[in-house]
Amino acid sequence: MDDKELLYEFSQPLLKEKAFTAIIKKYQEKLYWHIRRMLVDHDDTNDVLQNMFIKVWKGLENFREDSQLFTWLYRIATNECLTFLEQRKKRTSVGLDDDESGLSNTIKADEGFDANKLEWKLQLAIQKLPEKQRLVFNLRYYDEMPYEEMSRVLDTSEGALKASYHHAAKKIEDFILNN
Amino acid sequence: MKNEESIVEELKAIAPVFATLRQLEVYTVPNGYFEHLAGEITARINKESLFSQPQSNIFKIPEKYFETLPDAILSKVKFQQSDVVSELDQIAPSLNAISRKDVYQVPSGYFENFSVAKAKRKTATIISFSSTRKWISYAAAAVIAGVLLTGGFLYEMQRTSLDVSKELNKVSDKELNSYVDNSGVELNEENNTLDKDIYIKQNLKVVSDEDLQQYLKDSE
Repeated sequence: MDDKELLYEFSQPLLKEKAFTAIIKKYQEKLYWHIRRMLVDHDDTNDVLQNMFIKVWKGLENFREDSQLFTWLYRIATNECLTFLEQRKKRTSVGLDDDESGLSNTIKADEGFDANKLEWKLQLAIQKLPEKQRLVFNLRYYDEMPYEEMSRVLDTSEGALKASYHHAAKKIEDFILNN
Repeated sequence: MKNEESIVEELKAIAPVFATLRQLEVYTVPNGYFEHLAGEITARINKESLFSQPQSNIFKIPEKYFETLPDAILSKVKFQQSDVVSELDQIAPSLNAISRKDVYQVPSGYFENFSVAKAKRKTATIISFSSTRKWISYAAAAVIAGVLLTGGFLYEMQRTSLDVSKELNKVSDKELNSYVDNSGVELNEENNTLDKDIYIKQNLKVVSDEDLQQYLKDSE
């Protein structure tokens, strides 16, 4: 079912729940991985994903369709991620660098972690980036999101996004080559 | 029997030595050979018939593999040609060599069982402590601003206002008479005999404080 049909069904009281379930099924994996790459931990990701869909349930009837549904969902997921990271920083009274090392430790604690594999080094490198740069890199590298759409998700100009991606990729490459 | 007898007779006629050896068997046969022979021959026939049919693959492939194969190949081709890959080739080419496969593990059955159970529950209204603090700080700022403004206003009023009666005592009767004459207040001729002080006071009541203040300022 395409997004237009899903939105129409969501607007019908008798079909609302069915449409909501269909939306979850359609987008859960993509959104899960978007959040997971930011938060690393599965339980944290699950909490944020659930909260995100609750907001969707409450706000979807006001969705004006001036952007794609997926862009809107991504935007909510991104904001929830950033809010979660911000709240965690306040709760633990850690600075940005400490938070990055916290995520790095979470990566190293993953049962599948293998320090010799490039894919894991890539994850460690990504977590060294500032949050926004991390977001930009993940959206472009993993989701291959066009800059135009990314600008709507992150509410940032395309030029700034391109520069951010450029810096992020360079930093990651340097990290991998030196480690 | 007749046939066999004739054969022996014949052989005796040809080679009498052979005729006596004919009945001795020199080759041995494995035990039970003849009992299993029929089964072996049947199995062999069956084996030969399988080979003659088209061979079925022993290797398993995913369901609908070949139906999805063209799209899978096309998407890989497109990926290699994609903007993202060529862009990264310019910035950090070594990153393109790394697999984009997600390394984090997901609990089995997570996506199949994922649901948002909280969505239907009405959430209790949460009054954020930080928003209350925000309103308190706004109110405090408003009170302080009000106090400052009021104080400033009152100070200004006090500074500019004059105690009229005090100031009037400094003005001589001559000056006051001159003001009354010039202000256009008409005297009632019948009251010429009245006490001038009383007269002046009575007439001053119709003169506004602002006019008096202005007069006092001008006469300084």
